[in-house]
Amino acid sequence: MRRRGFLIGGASALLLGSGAVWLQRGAPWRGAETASAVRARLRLGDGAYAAIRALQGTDPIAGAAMAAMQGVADPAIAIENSLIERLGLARELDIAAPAFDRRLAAAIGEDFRQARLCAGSDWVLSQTECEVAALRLMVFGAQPSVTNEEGYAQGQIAEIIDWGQRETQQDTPFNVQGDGHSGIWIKTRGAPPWVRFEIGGERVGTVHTGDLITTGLYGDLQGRILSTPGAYEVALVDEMARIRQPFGVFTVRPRAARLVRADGSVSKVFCPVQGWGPSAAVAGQPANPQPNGNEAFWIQTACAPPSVRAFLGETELRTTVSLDLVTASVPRSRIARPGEWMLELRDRESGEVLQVGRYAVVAGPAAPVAEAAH
Amino acid sequence: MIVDFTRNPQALPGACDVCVIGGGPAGIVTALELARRRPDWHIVLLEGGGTTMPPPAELDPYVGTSAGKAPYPLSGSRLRFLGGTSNHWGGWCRPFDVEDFGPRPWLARSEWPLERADLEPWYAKAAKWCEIGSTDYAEDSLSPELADGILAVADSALLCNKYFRFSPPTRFGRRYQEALEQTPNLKVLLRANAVGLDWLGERVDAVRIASTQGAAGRLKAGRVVVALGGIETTRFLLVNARQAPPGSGLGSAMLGRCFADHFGLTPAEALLPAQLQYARVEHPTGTVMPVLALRADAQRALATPDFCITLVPQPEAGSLEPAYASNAALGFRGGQHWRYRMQLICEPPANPDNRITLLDEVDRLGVPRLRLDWHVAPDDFRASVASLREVGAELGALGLGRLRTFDEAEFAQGAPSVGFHHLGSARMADNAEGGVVDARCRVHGIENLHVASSATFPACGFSNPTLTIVALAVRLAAHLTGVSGSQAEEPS
Repeated sequence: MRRRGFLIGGASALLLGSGAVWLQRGAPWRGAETASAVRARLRLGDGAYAAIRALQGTDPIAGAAMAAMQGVADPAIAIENSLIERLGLARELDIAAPAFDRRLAAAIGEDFRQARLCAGSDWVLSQTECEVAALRLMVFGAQPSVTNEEGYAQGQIAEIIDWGQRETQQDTPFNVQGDGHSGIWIKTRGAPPWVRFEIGGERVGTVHTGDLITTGLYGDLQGRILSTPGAYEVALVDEMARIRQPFGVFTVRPRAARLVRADGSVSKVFCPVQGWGPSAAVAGQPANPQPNGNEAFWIQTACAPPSVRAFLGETELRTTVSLDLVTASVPRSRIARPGEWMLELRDRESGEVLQVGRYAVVAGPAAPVAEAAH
Repeated sequence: MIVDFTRNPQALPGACDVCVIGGGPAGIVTALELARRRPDWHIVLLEGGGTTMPPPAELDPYVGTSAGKAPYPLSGSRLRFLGGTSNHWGGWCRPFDVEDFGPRPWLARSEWPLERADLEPWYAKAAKWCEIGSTDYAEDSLSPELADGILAVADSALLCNKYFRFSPPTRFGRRYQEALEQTPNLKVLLRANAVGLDWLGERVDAVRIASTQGAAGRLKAGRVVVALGGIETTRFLLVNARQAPPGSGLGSAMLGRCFADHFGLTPAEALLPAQLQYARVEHPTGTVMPVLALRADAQRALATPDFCITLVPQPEAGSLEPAYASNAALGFRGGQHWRYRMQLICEPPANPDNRITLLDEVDRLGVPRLRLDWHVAPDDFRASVASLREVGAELGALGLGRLRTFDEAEFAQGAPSVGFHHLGSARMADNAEGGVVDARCRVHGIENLHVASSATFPACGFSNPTLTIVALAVRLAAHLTGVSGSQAEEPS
């Protein structure tokens, strides 16, 4: 539910809007004459002024018409006369409010068509529009200002179908994009294009491509979140409807202990290998065959940077790095013959190498002679 | 066949019928179209990079100097591997409008030597290469389905809704790699940089080729198509201008001049009906994105370049609040309103002072580096911004809303955003005085040298250039082979 706060009119309200500023500088009647006294000198009847009083949000545009009245002895009367003429009310001063509204709308439309615009306003406004705003301010004083408070209702903005990445490890960027930010994606259904992503209470750049939202951790925010283990609520936010939809938690796990090498030095990028495989295969027969026939390795480790690549001997393998696991595949043709190679992880950025273990390809059983002859 | 020239320099043939220089969308489409239309021809496509993102050292040829009040981001949006800039393309597609081809007397040097109708069949083919499902961009057919999310401008004399469509986006290198490998009369040489042209009289005789690893060679070519992207194309032509025949397009005073890019500004806000969606939205014919634009008559009457407007909802308080639009007495039609920031994508005027020139310093291939002088001047956008005041008056007259323009010192104080669309510095014109290439993308005065690049665009509306680049590439292939569109195969 949208909440509104009201700033009650009065001296503080007079500071709002350029019209009020003009009033402060000294309208002829200010201080010497009350608004009701101004009203008493004007010709239009109560119907017209009921309509004028009902106008909302007009104070900010009153200033331009009032500024144009500098030096005029009685600006309220001058503006009213102008309105009476433009709305054709000389013989209908007691016009009813609904009829006045229609005349006013028609006059404003005609102003726009005739390029009769309100001078001195950065908004493109009709002259009549500015004048009636000024008259309203002079006769009825400043309006209560409606301001939006920072509150957001919790509610449904869109269906969240899936999202990721949902966790990382301390100081470990993920899904790193060209500009260095860590990318997060959200598949939604029905998210309006102005909806933004929020993580840990901070709104971040959000790109909508159909039902896919791409966003992430940028700049300082990335540094702050990745350096601080914890659970960060993620949400969609509709700033126009003031609705917030939490849909999950992004987790930054504490940094895992780094690998201590045999010489006592500590790796900057690698954690100990907790398990890996396969370590052996028969020539031409992958031990962990993939649908395309390739051999696939898995290496379980609590950390590995996105820039890591697996190598079998000097052959770079197609490598996928996730939070706790590195996977890599090697073409079946590479293991067609017996041999033994070291499986390594090499980090392209730091240059560090982690030897995982030796992978052996052994000769298969000899084929029967008769079969081989065919 | 795709071969790495660095590892297999012997794979360089001695001669070919057509050498296409550059493996981006223009080069790949030109090469495949040529090879399919003329199976009897041997086509060679030279690509300076490999098939994946190159290491920084291979990007050395892109290093240059950008001068001007706000330096142009020269390294942005230039990718040196098969597929070129399509490898990070956003997929925005839209043909240029009829009026973008001119004549537009109020815009100097903005006329194409061809009409939109000349490109129509090639746009259809380009849509297939770019894998766009529909070629329908018409307001009449797209707006009704989207009426709830667009401004109702049917009664407007100034505004209309126009539409972008989207390629998946097609990564031309990956998408057509198999076709490049399997087309028998086409050879793709990777890491093969064209560093110069050899001349025989008034014709190009051969292309000199080098790799950053030291391999070098020479390829005789019956015809040469330069398709290196909007900046590298011009640099390559400038490098070869000194030996070119006098009076040719390479000697044109316009070579290197009128470099342009679409630029973005946010010069206004508006109070308009709520929930307008000037963003990617789903339409039964595919994903589209509506934008507001001036009608052709309005552009003419207000003497503006082309531009389009997107609306971004603004939740923050402003000087005129949405409640203001609840006043039926002020002419509003009713319903909830929001404030929107109005973001413009502007057509850049052709400014000869925005120019690519060569420096004395050379890159690691021995090719002179470039200098780009570029800036957006207030006169480049003042007519467009002024026209928004007219739009504001019309919005008021129609009861649609109100519009406010910002102080120029406020919205133009920083560098404008750019589209990374490298346009105009090897312009298309009727003769070598006005430009570099003719209406068929042939360099004036040089029978066998052609250009497939956005560098040839003399004007560019507000639409992203890729679709037009590809359309011109298909058209060029048809002209070179003498084989019309219907005889060519579709992309596969």
